[in-house]
Order: sequence, then C-alpha cells, then structure tokens
Amino acid sequence: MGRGFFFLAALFFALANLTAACGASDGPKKTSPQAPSGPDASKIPGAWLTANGSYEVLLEWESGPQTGINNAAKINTTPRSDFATLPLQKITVTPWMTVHGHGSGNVQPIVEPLLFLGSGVYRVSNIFFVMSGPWDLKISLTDGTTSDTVVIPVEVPSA
Amino acid sequence: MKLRQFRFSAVFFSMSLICFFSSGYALACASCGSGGDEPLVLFPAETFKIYGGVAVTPQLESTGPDGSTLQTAGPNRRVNSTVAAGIALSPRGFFTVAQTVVTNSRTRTNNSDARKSSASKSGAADPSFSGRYTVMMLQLSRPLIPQIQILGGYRPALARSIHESSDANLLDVFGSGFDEVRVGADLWLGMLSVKTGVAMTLTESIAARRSGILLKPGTLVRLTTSLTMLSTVDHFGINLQPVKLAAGVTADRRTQAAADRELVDGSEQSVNGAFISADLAALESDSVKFTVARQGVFGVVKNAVASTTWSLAWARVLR
Repeated sequence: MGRGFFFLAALFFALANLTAACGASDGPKKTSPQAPSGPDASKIPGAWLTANGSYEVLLEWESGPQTGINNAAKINTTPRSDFATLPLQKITVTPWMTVHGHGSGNVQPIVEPLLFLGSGVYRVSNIFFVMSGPWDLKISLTDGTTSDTVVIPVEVPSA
Repeated sequence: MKLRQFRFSAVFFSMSLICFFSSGYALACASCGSGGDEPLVLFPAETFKIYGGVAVTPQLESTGPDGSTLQTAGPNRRVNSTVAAGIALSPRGFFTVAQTVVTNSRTRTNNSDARKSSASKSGAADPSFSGRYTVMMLQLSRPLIPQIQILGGYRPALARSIHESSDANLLDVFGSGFDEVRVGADLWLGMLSVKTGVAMTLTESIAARRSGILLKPGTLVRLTTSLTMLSTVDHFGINLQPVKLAAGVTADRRTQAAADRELVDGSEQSVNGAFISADLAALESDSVKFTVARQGVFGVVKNAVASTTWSLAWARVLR
C-alpha cells in the first residue's frame, strides 16, 4: 500500500508540474492586438489602420457577412505615411476564426482591383465563413518592397 | 480456500472480466471504460483482445466563446467506425492501437421545395496508440484501497484536418491537425457492490504551423467519474447473463490556444457530458456494449460541440 501511495503521489506531482509548466513564462504571452490598428487610430471614419501605420483600410460589405455563402466586400486602402509610396501590388484576404483556430478550409477569397491599378479600391469575393460567430479578416498588403497587415474583426450572425 | 472465499473470488473475477472486457470509444468512462480515450482495456488475465464499434452522432451543435449555438455550414451528422486491438505486455500493463474511419454528412432542406439533400465523405481519422500500467492492484482484503492505473497515449496528426480541407462544408475533415500526447491516472474502487471510479487525463497538442500561423491548441484536462453495477435478470426461470450498467459524467476543460506564441483571448473550451451504458457478456469470450453519451448535458458549452452519440461496440478476447 505504501508503495502504491508513493506512486500516486509521484504521479500527481508530475501532473501538477506539467500543468504549471503550461502556464509558465516561457510559453506564449498575452498581448494586445496590433497596437496601431483599429478604427479609432484612423483618420477615415470606420477605417482600420495597418500594423505598421502605412495604410488605412475601409471594409464595406456588398453581401453578407453570412454563413455558408460566398460573401463579397469592397476594400478601400488609403496610404497614410511616407512608408507607402509605391502603389499596392498585391492584397490577400484570409478569413480566420481566431477563437477556434481555423479558417474556412481552402476556400480562398478572390481579390480584384475595382477601378484601375493603383486606385486602392478592391473587390473581394468568395469570402466564405463556415460558421457564424467571431471571425477576423486578415488582410495583407504588399507594395513590392514592403508589406503590412491589418486584422479586421467580423461578427458573422446566425441566420 | 473456503467455499465462501472461492465464491467471492469467482464473482469478483467475473465482474472484473466484464468490466474490463469492453468499453465505449466515443466517451470517457473511468476505469472500466476509456478514461484515457482508448477503446478497450485488458484484464490482467487477457493477453490479446480485439474490438469493433460504431458510434452515430445524428446532430452536431457548435458553440462560440459565449456559449451561444453557432450556425454552421459544416457536417451536421457523423458516424465513427472503430477497430482496435490490445496486447498485454505484462500482467500489469498493456498496449492498444485503434483506428477510426469517420463519415461526415451534411443534410439540408431546400427552402424552395422543402426537399432534403445530403452529401457525405468518409476517411481515416488520426490513429491512436495507448497504454496503461497498473500501479496498485485491487485487494480482496482491502475493498477501500483503489486500483490505480497510469495511462498514456499518442495520436499522430496523419488525417486531413480543417487546415487542409478542400470541401466548403468541411466534409473531408477527419483529424485534429495536431499531434497529441496524453497522460493520466485512473482510480477505481472495484471491490464494492456499486463500483466507482475517477480518471483524469491531460492532453497536450504539439504546436504546428497551419495556414502560415504557428498554432497550438490549449491543454485539455478531462475528468471522468462513473458508477457501475451488475444487474442480473431472471425472468420466467431463465437466468440471463449479468448486465453491467454504468453511468457517469465527464468534464472537459481546455486552456487558451496560442497563435504565433500569443494566447488567444476567448479560445478556452469547456463542455460537460454524461453517459449511460449497458454491457453484456454475449458469448464465452465476447461482449457487446451499448452506450448513449451526451456532450453538453449541463453547464455552458464553450467553443465546443454539443451532441448525442449512440454507440454499439463488440469485443472478443482471443488469448
């Protein structure tokens, strides 16, 4: 019996250490979202500032956001600093359900310049949300030499 | 050995045999079940056992961080077909391997003509490798001394996960996407008329880069407790095989996930479940078990799936 209790004590000691180690300071640290981002930091009402402060990004839904359909939105990008002097060459949009740790499989949004190259206005279609709830649209902007990102939260309602 | 002692030993042996004979795979069950998520456990006298089981989940209900039910375009029905085998490495320890084939289905009603349409896909889930070692055996003379087992397991992320899915409705998602390591302990008071057990497992997922992000699901802590009793049915003078009836509750808690080494607010998971099962020794070396398990039976279901699973399992001792 004494031997058994020794094993039991050792086991729970090990489990307790393991649990403590999971929350130790070597692990991930809780940080605030991208510091300069958010609509409050922008000059354009409702726009989101990118992480490096290069652009303001305004998102307007054309259809949606809804679950289970291909949603579409218009993205208006406005240079804000000298950092963004070259015209944008590429924009990628990724829907991501951060609290669940997944996107929408390999359904990729399609990004097309809406007016003419360099205008900063894009139409994003094929935005698919596999479920309702809190999502993020992760937008990456590249001007050929540098890139910047912005994360725009989207609440997808239940029908 | 006196006759009374012999009878007691025989009854205890029979109970234990039935108890360890089979278990549900889709639910956790302390001691006699799958407190460690392995589909079968071996009694010390057994050296080789096989298992087959089918678990049907007719409805899946995903929930968000606030516990609200989410509308989903993913599968709303799932069938898990599992085969497993276990081999004893010593009288105290055994090793099991299990493989499940998942069938995801989605049925939806057309709004215009109210007709139902359905689609489904099947694929292999992540395999599971598990082991148990009995640290402290049950003692006839000391019924309040529990059996203590330590358990461990490994589940490699071999199946297609949501990160590799090419189906808009996620019907081709069969795995978690992360290697998982599991450790735990299982205590069981098996010498009482109503047996009780409690098991605790910790499951740690190995961080992996998915969709360009270094993702790491939180640590899953699962607590399971159960009560088990034998019921002997005697109708019209016919002595039927004793049926082992079990009921229990589970509590799953998963800590915050991490993305690129930053904890994700609101990503904690919690769900409480309950189950009942009936286990019948069908033939000399076979057993059949029927189980109903409900995830989300009480409390808030947070970032998890509420569901009811009906499962039927069969096990046979080969040696």
